[in-house]
Amino acid sequence: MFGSRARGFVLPASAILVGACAELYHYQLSDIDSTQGTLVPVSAQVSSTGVDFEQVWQVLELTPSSRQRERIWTAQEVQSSAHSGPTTGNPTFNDRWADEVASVLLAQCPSGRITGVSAVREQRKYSAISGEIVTVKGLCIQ
Amino acid sequence: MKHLYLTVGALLAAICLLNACASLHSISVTEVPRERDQPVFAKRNNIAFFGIHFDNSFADELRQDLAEQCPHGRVTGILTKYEIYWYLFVQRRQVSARGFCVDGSADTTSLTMQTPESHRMLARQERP
Repeated sequence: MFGSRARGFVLPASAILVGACAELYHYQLSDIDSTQGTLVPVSAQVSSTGVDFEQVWQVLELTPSSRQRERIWTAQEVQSSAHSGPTTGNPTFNDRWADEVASVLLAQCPSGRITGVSAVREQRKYSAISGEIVTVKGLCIQ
Repeated sequence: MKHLYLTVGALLAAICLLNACASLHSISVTEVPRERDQPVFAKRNNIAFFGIHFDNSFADELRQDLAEQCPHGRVTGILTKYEIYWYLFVQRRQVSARGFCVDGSADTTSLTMQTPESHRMLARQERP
């Protein structure tokens, strides 16, 4: 079906799409206290869907109508002016998606005492769509 | 002339390969203890061509590495860094953590929590 050159491109591309590229933005580790008792690992992960608008605009700009293209450029400018400042990952549809991560973690630790907490901000990229992820792992003191 | 181009090209390539481009992506630090005579350090690396990575689990063992160096105490004052190095087409991601192992019974008063007045008092006490 595909020529050898096309296969050489399609196979790595599909591997990237299926596997998804992983991006790490931030890693943080808190104090580790091994003196208080038995430590049991706990973890919590929250995520949201992100959209890579640059890629979306690039696809939409392929339209043959020049009028449509102008509308797309206007929408692109509105979108880019609404998203300014430093960010990690792609824009999501709300900014509260990571708020629950601490309560999810605490729910797994009846004593309420967690040490060695690592917080990771990462992204899984699937072309124009991405998974924006926050993972928190720790050791519950029992 | 051709020889000169080759020499300059080789020199530039060597500079790129040996030095690498480094970028610091995140840094954090926890409360720094007064007792700092037992430093601990751990780092984890992840290498990929063209910076295409498929997971971020390489840093998961970092906490364990630090805890093993301080089995009966408390690791505190942890400086965590996430850096990226580029060697032409190869990217190396590195997460490192440097802290201090403090004995469980020791006074771990944090320097970051002290007021300027308490800093002055501490300096007066430590003066011979």
